[in-house]
Amino acid sequence: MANVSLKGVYKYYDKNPKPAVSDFNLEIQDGEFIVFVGPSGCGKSTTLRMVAGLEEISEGEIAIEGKVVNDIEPKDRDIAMVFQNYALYPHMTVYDNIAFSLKMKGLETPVLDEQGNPIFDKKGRPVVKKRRYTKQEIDEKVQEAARTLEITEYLKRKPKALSGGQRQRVAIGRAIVRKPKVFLMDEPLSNLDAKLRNQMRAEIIELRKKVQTTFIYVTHDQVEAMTLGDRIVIMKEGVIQQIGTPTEVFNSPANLFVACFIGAPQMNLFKAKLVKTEKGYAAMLDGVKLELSAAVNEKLKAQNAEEREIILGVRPEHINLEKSPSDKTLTAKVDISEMMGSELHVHAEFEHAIKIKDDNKKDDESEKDQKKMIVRTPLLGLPETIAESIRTGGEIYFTFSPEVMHLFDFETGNSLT
Amino acid sequence: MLKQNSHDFQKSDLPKNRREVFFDCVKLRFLSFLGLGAVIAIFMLPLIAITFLKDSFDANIYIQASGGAMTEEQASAAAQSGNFIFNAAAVACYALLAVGLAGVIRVIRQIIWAEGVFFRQDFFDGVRLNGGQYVVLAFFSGLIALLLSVAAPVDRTTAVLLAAVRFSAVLVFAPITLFCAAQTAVYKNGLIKTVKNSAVLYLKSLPTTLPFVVVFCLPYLITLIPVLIVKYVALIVFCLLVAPLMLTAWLLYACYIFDKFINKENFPELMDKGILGK
Amino acid sequence: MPTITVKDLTVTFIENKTQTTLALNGLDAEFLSEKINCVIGASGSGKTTLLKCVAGLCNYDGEIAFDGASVDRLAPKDRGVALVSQEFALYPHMTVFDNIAFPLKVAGCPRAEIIGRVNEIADILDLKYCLTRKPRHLSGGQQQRVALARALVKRPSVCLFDEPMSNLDAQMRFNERRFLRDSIKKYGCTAIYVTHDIPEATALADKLFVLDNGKVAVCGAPQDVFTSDNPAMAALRGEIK
Repeated sequence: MANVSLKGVYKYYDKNPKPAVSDFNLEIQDGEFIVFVGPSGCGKSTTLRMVAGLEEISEGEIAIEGKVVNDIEPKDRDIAMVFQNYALYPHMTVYDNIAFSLKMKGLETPVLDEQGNPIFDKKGRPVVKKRRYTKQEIDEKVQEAARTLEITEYLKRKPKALSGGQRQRVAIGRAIVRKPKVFLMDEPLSNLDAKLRNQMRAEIIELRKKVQTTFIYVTHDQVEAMTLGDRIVIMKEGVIQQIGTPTEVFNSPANLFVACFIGAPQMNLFKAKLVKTEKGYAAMLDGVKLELSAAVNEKLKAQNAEEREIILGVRPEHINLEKSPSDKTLTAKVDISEMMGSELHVHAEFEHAIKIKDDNKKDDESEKDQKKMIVRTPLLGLPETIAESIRTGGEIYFTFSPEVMHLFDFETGNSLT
Repeated sequence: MLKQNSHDFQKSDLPKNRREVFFDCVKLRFLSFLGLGAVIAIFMLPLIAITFLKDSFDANIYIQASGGAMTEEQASAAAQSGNFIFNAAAVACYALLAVGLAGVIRVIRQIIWAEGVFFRQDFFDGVRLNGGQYVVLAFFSGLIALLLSVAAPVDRTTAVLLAAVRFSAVLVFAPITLFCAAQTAVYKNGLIKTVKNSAVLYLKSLPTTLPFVVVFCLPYLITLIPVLIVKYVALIVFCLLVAPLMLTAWLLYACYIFDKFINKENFPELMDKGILGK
Repeated sequence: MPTITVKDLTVTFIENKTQTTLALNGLDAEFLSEKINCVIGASGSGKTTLLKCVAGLCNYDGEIAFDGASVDRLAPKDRGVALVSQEFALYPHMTVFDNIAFPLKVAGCPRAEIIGRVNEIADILDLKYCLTRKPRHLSGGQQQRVALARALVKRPSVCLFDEPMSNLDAQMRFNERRFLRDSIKKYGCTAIYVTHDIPEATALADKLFVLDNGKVAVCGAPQDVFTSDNPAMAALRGEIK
């Protein structure tokens, strides 16, 4: 097991002044499962490849087990990488594919001085004695990896005879047989269909329990990130947006991007106003005064926050539907509803609902999404009056409690709390 | 798995003017253009064949004259009669080429108008609907080329006059013919009305149309290449790759002129046809 | 458009000389006419095999009838059935227009009718601006709509869906469900939609079928089926949690 440390890491490509990765700082603990997640082009794969040594680091340093590896070749970093396209040798059997990395690596034992301390060369690298693995050693390790991944029965087959999921397991087997300090996985499940992805995700969780190694996993799928990661690093345009556990990023998103990226359906955003009251602060939305929680009030008081326009975020599952309107309820018009399992997803129009500009979407597509919101409500126990209103495309009245409200600055999009 | 775009393709991603339409069509339908080039090459074969025969004939005369088997006068007379026979035969070749071009331009019209392209069906529709007018235009073009080729100056004045006529043929007759070809592909008019309209359109758009006329001289310039193998390779490459693009650019430009002077008042449904992003 | 009746449908796959698998085991079902009939079930319950039987793409014992008339002896191309799957199977070198028009061209439809029908379905499925593009220029959702358009342009009486939205993200799936519902309603074909995504099935279905071990375990209105005590449905509910 290893800890991995990235300090002030930047990556520039050729003449492009905008870095692909900017000021990346992260300390990964021994045995931690870290996920880098973000949209296409956010720099997650580039960062992973810098840890692997497949990309040069423009600035900063990366250390594995306290040793800076900036100038160390990938093969000497004691890492193993699993790619999206498996990268198996098609002419070799599964056995030979897994064994290949052992044959290439050989066994390195550090040379010790008379006191039993390791000897270092002029560049600070430990002097090692290298020998080839014996046939028996290779066989033992391959069989162990195959047993771990339940691919023993495929060892004599060639990759083309295997399904996508089986090939991916072979690719993982080829990585774990080296017993690396760090596993690096670059979107390994992207090429698989949805059903298989779910299955493989569960297998990766099982694998993690068995091998107890540090994992750095890259994906664009936030559900995958939330399921697998001990901690998640959310990236956008080369910059870290937030680092935290799944619960932290879900409950306390640092900015609008994180708030909208994590969670499906996406968080509802409303254009509201932060106002001062006798008790502290409140949010005004569509003429309704919404009380804020004590914790939020304290934080706003500490900042001496000014009255201003803000963005209020509430997740669809946190919205409560009310039977009738009152001075505390907000009103929206039902557009369409869908029964999704045991829940009802109600898509409605609300004057003050907004969507942030998604750089991956064009302006006219973003326009269509404005004034739209989603409510998730359990079907069981839904009052008939509300159900009827939803069925007939009428109005719904809703509230939400102070604890579930997220406040964001209108200009910067950063969380106010 | 099929490659996917990260966001929905929308109207704003479509070409917004005819220049963008040109590059968009070429990029998306490169194979179709190659197919059109192949068709043009096939219909050009007779013309290329008689050009090759003429070159062989001229080479033979040169060898005989250099070797003394022919006098200078005999060689000159032989060359002139060869020239006449070539230009007479070329009239028929132009007519045949015109049939092919009628179909090709119809397919190009479908491509630039972003309507469904049914290559074979559209080609034959073009031949059927427009072939007649194209053949007539080609016949007259060939006839003028023949007359100009046999006209020989007797003195300086007639030489200057002949040069002026040849120059006018290129600067006047050629662009009018090109406009006729484009009009025939778009409107259902009789030939005389088409020619009259073309003359007016040309006069009104002279400065912007002239560069196209220069570009359309390219095939003639290729025939002047002295090295025969280079000449014929260049001709084939021209047919396959350059000709369809030239015709597309011309048709797009013609549609722009039609919009400006005809469609605005008379055919609003044809305005900006094919510019889907507008 | 027909009511599809399936009686005692049995399909046996022979794995090797000693092993056979019963993919479908005497399955009976009635699929509602001009409605979306969703079929869910665990892996190996026979969902895709059922679709293949209705399409005529595999051998079976039993009877399949459209509006009471047996189709067992009819070849796939004569059953009036269209199939949409998750791979979309679009021709990458053809434009969207040509992809959608392809089945009509193969059937020898006149040019004017092809253009009319393609433009009509492109309008319904919001693909009007994509007709000149190649599939690679479109998002996953739009590609799925092109596959749907290609299926519906033939005006099939039956449309079969084999997990068509598996590869789309949640937001895209919501949009595509709307288009699917609207177009099925507009063209009035009988739809059988197979998926492993239970919430999606309950969102789309007019009638929901749960398959278990090659038979229909329970079927009916989506809400009734989803909340039923049937063991197969309970196991699937457990999977969602």
